[in-house]
Amino acid sequence: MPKLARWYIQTALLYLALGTLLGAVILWNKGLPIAGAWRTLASHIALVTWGWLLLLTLGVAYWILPCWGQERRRVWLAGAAYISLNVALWLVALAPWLRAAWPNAAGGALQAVACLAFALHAWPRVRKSAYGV
Amino acid sequence: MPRLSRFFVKSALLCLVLGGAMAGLALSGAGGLPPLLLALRPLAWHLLTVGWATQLIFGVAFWMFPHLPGGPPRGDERLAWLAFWTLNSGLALRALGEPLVTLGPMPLTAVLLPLAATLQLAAVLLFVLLTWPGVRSLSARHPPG
Repeated sequence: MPKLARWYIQTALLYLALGTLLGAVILWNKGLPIAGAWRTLASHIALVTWGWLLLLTLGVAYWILPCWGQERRRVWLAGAAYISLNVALWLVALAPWLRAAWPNAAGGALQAVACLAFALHAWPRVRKSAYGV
Repeated sequence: MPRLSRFFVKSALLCLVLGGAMAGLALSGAGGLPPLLLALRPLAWHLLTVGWATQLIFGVAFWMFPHLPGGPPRGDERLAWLAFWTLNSGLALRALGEPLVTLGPMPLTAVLLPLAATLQLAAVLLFVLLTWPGVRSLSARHPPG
């Protein structure tokens, strides 16, 4: 498994644990009220969707899509997507505490850039592999 | 495919069917839906994201991720089974308790929902601990057959 895929997948696992912890606080709150629990909702959703599901799928795609021999081309695009997604995620996750609109706007824009960068990296790799399948 | 992966994937498929049907009803936008049906929306989302997507990933990751060198190839399988049962019992308790919240606070939900939350969190932490060592550079297995 290449290094960048490991970063993607291990970061996704961390976000899964953190996002589930916030979700557990909200579910606890439905049975036994916890002050301020609902404030974590936006962060919970961002962490488990963008942080867990998206990072994991991108990491696995980076790992298993066909390569050119052992080589993956335009790796910098996948690396840029990883950095953009992480910055975006923290902006969106912290937005409820920053009391401003710009973190969500900037986070949303960075997420879009990250998706485009990864798609540009992956597009040429979606083809027949060296094994002919 | 190992037995535990089959359990994860089949359980995920059941959650997909259940969550899909529930989401179809609760999100249909039909006018005059009873409050209890609308209250199923969080449950429908979680059946689809936790019960389906996350559980499917757990099952496939347990099956396909690189094996560990020496010792059991997939780590301690008893812990993985524990993750399966805690995740699914947590989801089942949530399915039982969450719709009841709409009827008002009651002692039953004060027990069921925190327990459901704790079980699901425990399952996730177990899975992360089990999977982490497998996310590594060298695969001990040859191309999957």
